[in-house]
Amino acid sequence: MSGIFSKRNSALLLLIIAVAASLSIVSYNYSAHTSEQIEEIAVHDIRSNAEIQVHDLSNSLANKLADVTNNLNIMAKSPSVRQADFESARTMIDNAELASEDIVDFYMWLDKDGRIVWISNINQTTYEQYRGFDLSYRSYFIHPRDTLQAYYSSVTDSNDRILRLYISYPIIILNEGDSFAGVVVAGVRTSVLGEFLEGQISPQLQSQVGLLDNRGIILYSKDTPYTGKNVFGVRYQSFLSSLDPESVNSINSGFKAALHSEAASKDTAIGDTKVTFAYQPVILEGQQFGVLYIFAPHGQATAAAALIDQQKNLTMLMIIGIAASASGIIFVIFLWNKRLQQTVDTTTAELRKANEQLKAHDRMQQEFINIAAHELRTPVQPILGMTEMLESEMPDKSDDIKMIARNARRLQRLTEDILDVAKIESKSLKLKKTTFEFGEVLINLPNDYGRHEIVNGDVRFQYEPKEEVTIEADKDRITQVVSNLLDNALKFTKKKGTITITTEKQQDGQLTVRVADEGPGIDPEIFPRLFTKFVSRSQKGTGLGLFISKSIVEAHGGKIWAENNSDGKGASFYFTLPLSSDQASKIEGKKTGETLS
Amino acid sequence: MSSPNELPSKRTVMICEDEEDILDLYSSFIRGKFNVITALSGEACLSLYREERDTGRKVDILLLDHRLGDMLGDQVECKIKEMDDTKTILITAYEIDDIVLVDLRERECIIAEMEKPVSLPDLEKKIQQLLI
Repeated sequence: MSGIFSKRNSALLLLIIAVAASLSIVSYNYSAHTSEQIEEIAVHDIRSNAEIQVHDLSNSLANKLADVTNNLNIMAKSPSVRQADFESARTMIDNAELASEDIVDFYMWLDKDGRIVWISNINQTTYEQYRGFDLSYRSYFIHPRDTLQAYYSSVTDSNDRILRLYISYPIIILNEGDSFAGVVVAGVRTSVLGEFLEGQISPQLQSQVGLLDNRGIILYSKDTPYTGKNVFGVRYQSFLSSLDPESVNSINSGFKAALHSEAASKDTAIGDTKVTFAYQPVILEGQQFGVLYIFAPHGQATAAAALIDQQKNLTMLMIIGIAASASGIIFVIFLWNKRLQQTVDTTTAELRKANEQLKAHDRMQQEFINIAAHELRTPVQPILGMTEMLESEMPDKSDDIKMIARNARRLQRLTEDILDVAKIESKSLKLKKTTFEFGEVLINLPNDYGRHEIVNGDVRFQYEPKEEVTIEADKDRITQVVSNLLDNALKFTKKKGTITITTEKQQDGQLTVRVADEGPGIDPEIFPRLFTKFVSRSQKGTGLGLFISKSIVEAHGGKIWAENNSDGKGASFYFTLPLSSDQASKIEGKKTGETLS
Repeated sequence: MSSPNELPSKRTVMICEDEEDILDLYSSFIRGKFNVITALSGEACLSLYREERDTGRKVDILLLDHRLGDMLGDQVECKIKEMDDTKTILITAYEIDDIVLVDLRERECIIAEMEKPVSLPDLEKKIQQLLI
């Protein structure tokens, strides 16, 4: 295992883990920051909405109550009420009640002694029951009587046990020196007031609305037990004490500020719920009637933040998962790589060893060929040399000496052929390529063939090229091929005949050479083995010439083949060789020209 | 190993060959036309060459076998080249690598090479060409 974690691999693995950890931290911080921002935006939105809503509610309430006070003002100043025209006043009061019945429970007319003169929205039986009922002890009578000013009551527990807000106006007889003649009173159920306020609130905000009078007494709250209680009183403060002190202070300071005609909002908490506490004074006829407030919970903002938190956690988990997967994959890759490396190392070592063995083998083969060459050629030298000397010194014995020379040369040829076969089979045959004119090959031949001459008795040799052909090849080796083919042709053209060499340039940049004879043709029995070793019908040949020729031609990238002539006279041997690049490009150019034309 | 019969008008050819038959063959063939000095080993060749040089006699051509009994022909020819400007013909039955031959030619250790078995008339022709 330690092999897998090389320094480089360990560093890479640590880098991946570090990158994953960094990404996790960055992602976590970014998500946390985003969550806070989104929550802040959402809270800001809730706060703004709460402020707008409490402001709108305050105005709506003020307008609604202004309608009531207007009605009271009109009633208080109407001649029928002032002059105690009962029937007309009653009709007016009933009509006013009908016009504002959505908010007003009833209008009531009290005389100067505080007794009931008329109550709207009441049947005759009940009226008769309450007619003349003394309400002079009620604040809504006492205050306007004593101040001659409009009066707004706090929550009042009425005789019928219904909590109401009362608004009263004094009836003043002007022509008798501002004498007090009674009051007109509007009774508004706090529950109706609450319904009105609740109806104005957008349900999406899920806010709780409340209304205080200008002394801090709760006129409306959804928590009805607190209605009529002072927000600074024991009961409400006892409720607030369940909250954390900071929230209590925040709410109390907000109520105080609102009662001093300030409008604002602040974020606080009720239990575990974060809320925006927004408040707004309600101004009626230029004076503060009370305070409207709402608690707008941050539920949506908290839900959005919670979603972001979930996303943050999921992202973290995914990054950790991806890092773990990547580490696992890298581990597997390292393991695989290590095994591959071991395989490569083993194979490389084996190949190196095999290569060294091959080189040693090649050296041994080359050494063998060298020694064989020396040992085969050396004894031929004195034989051939002495023969040459005897030929010059004993011309009368020339036939005998020629026999020795012929056999010595045959031995020499056999020696060279065997060495060539050894080189071919050990793949150490080397070519020394040059560019030359093909005709030069014929001049270099041992028998020195001319272009058109008798070479052996009645056998004629013919080579009449139509054009000069240059090839790129090993001149000595191609000479050897041509020599082999000509010797072969000469051997089988025993009587009168012609050996013809023709050359033809091919479109593929190759030169085809044909050596045709007029001998008996190729024996069908040896045809399939013609270019293999030791195939010969001649007593003189080594049986290696065609095999060597094939190897030389193929080493040049050419091919060699033979066929019997179509006229039934003799055989033809063909071989191809690459033309020189100049001549090949000329053919290519000609082909292109022909195509273009 | 032999010294030439003094024939001042003739040019001198030294033959170094470890095969005695071949040494005799070459020397017999050219003896009438040249002063001939023969050596059967590389060491003998160098010794005879120094002797000839010290006595003021010039060896014009050296026919040198490649693989001698005691050393390779290229060692001999390059040492002789260091001593004088004798023209050396390397005669070999071995397959000498072309790179080695090109190197010997470039360093002028040899002036020509022939492959055994050589034709004696060809050998004489080559000597005559190089003496011009």
